[in-house]
Amino acid sequence: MGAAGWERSAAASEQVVGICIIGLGNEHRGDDAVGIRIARQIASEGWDGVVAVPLNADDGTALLHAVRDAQTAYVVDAVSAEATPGTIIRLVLSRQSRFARFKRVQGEEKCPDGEEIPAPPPRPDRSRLRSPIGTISSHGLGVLEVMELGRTLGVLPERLVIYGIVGRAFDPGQGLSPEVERAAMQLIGRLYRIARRREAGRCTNSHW
Amino acid sequence: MTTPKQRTLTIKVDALARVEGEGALLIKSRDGQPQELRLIIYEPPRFFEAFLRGRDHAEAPDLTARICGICPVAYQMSSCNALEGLLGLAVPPEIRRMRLLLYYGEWIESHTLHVALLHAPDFLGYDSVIPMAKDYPDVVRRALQLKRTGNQIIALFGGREIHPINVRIGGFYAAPSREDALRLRDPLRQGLEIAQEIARWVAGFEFPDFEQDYEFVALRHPDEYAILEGRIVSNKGIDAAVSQFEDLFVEQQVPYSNALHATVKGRGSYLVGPLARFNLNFDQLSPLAREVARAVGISPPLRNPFQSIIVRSIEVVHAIDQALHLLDSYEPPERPWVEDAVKAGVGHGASEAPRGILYHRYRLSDQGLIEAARIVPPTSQNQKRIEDDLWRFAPRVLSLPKEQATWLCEQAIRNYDPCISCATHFLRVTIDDGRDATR
Repeated sequence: MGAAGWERSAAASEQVVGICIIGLGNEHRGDDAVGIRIARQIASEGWDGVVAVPLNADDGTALLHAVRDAQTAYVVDAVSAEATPGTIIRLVLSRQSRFARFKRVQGEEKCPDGEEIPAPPPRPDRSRLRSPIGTISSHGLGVLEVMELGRTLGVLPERLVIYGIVGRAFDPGQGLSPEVERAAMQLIGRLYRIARRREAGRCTNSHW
Repeated sequence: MTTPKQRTLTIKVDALARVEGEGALLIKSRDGQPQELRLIIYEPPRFFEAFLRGRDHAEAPDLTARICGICPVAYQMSSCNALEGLLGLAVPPEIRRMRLLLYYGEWIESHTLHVALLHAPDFLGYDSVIPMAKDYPDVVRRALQLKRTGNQIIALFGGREIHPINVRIGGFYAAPSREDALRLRDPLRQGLEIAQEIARWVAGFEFPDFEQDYEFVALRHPDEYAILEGRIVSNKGIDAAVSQFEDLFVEQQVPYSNALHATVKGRGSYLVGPLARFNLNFDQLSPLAREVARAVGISPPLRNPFQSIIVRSIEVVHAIDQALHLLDSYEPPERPWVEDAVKAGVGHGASEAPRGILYHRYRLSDQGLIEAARIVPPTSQNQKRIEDDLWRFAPRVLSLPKEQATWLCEQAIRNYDPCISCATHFLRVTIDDGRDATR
C-alpha cells in the first residue's frame, strides 16, 4: 500500500490556536452529554487561545483527527465507574509512556497523586471502567483505544489529559444529574485556570 | 456423571465488541450443537417513535438523525421520503444530486470505518485495530484518511459531520458554493485509489466456507444502484412499492430482546444490506466498481456473509466514483428546497442506509403534527437472519476452545455491521463459562 496520507502535519487549511479542549459524549443520553455541554459552554465564552470542540463520541476517529496536531489536548467525557457520581478523574497520557497517570480530583481537593495504570491492553478490563474510557465502544473505538491507535500511528499529542466525570444516569433523554452538573462547573473552572497558565500549544479547528 | 461426549458449553457475551450499541449474545450448546441461541439487543425500545409523537413533521429529519451517530443521513433521507411522499413534494434534480452526495459521504465513512477498523482485524487474527495498526500502519492511516473524506462530504452538504443540520423537508437550508464543493475532488480522487487498495486487500483474506440460501431484500431504482429511494425487491419474487412494506414484512416481539424480529410474511428471515444490494443490483454498480469486483473475484450470486466485507469495500469504490461524477456538474441551486406543505395522512419512505433498507412511516394530523411514527432500521430486520446464521455457523466452532469459539461468533455477527441505535458506547464483556470439568 502507498505512503501514509494521514499524518501529523499542519495543512494549509488548519488554523493554529492555543489549547484544544474536546468534549465527547452523546447529548441524548443523560449524563453522557456532559463532555459536549462543557465544550459548548467554553466555546460560547470565547476563551483566548482556546478552541473547544464538542464531538459526538460515536466517532472516535474524529477525536483522533481533532488532537493530532496539538501539543497538549484535553478531552472531557462522562464515565461510568465505581465512584460517587460527580467525581472527576484525570488520566494523563503521553506519547512516550505506555502508562497513564491516574488521579482522582474533586473540586479543589487533592488526592495522592501518581497512581499509574497501564494503557489499555487489546482487551481492556471493561468491568472496571465504562466507556468511552477503557472500552471498545460502539462503532469502534473508545477514548483510550483511539489514543492508543494514535500512539501506534505516531499522531498522538505530546501530552493528552482526559478528564472524566462519573455519571449517575445514562438513560435516553436530555439533562444532567445535579451532581454531574456541579462537577461540570468545577471542571470548567479548573480548565480555565489551566488555560491561563498553560503555555500555548497547537490545535486544529476544522469544523464547519 | 457426564461422559466426555456429553459436554455443555455456554457462550455468553454480555456486550458485543466492535458493533454499534449495546448487544449481547447467548449460546447454550450440548455436544457441539446449539440448544439455545439468542442475540439480545438492548436498544431503548421505540424511544424515538414515542418521542416523535406530537412534534411538527418538519422536525422529523432533525430528530431522527439523532438516532444514529454513524448513519444520520439515512434517517434524514428516509424521513424526507416518507413525508414528501405524503405531502406531494417532488425535489428537482439539482437538490436530489445534493442528497446523493450527502448520502455517498455517509456510505464512504460508515463502510470504511467498519471494513478497515472494526472487521478487518477479525480476519487477520487481531483483537482490535490497535495491534493491527502496528503491523499495517499504512492501511489504517489511509483508511482513516478515506473515512475523513466521507465525513468532509457530510460536513459540507450536511452542515455538520455528526447529526447534519442542513437537511430539511424539501431539500436543504443552504447549498455550498461550487468552489467549496470542488475542493472535495482531490481528497475523493485519492480516496478512490485508497478504496481500491482496500478492496484488493480485504479480498485476499481467508473466508470460512459458509453459504446460506438468503432471501435478499433491497431497493431497486430504474436508473441507479439504489440508495435514495426505489421499489422493494427480493430474489424470491418481491417487487412492491415501499408503501407495501408492512404488508410484506412482519415484526414480532421476542421476549429476550428489545428489538423486534422481522420475517417475510408467510416465509422466514431475510437479509438487507450490502450483500443483498450486490446480489440484486450488481448491474447498476458503476463500471469501475463492477470492474474492481470482478478483478478481486466476486460477482453474484454471492451468499457467503463473511465476504460482505469485500462488498462494502466495492460499495465505497462505487460511492466515490459516483460522487466525483456528481461534483463535476455540481451547481448550487438558487433555492435548495421546495416549499413544505401541511396535509393529513400516512406517508411511507425508505432508503438504503449503509446497513440496508431503513423504513419510516408517519401519520400526520391536519395541522402537520406527527400522530404516529414507525421506524424499522436495517439491523432489526436482519436480527433474525443473524440468529439463523449463527444457528448454522455455531456447530462449526463450538468444539474449539471457548475463547476462540466466542470470538468467531462475534466475528460472524460483525458480518452484518449491526447498528444498535443511540447507545452510550459502553460495553461490558463478561464470559460466563458454563463448561463442565471434562473440557
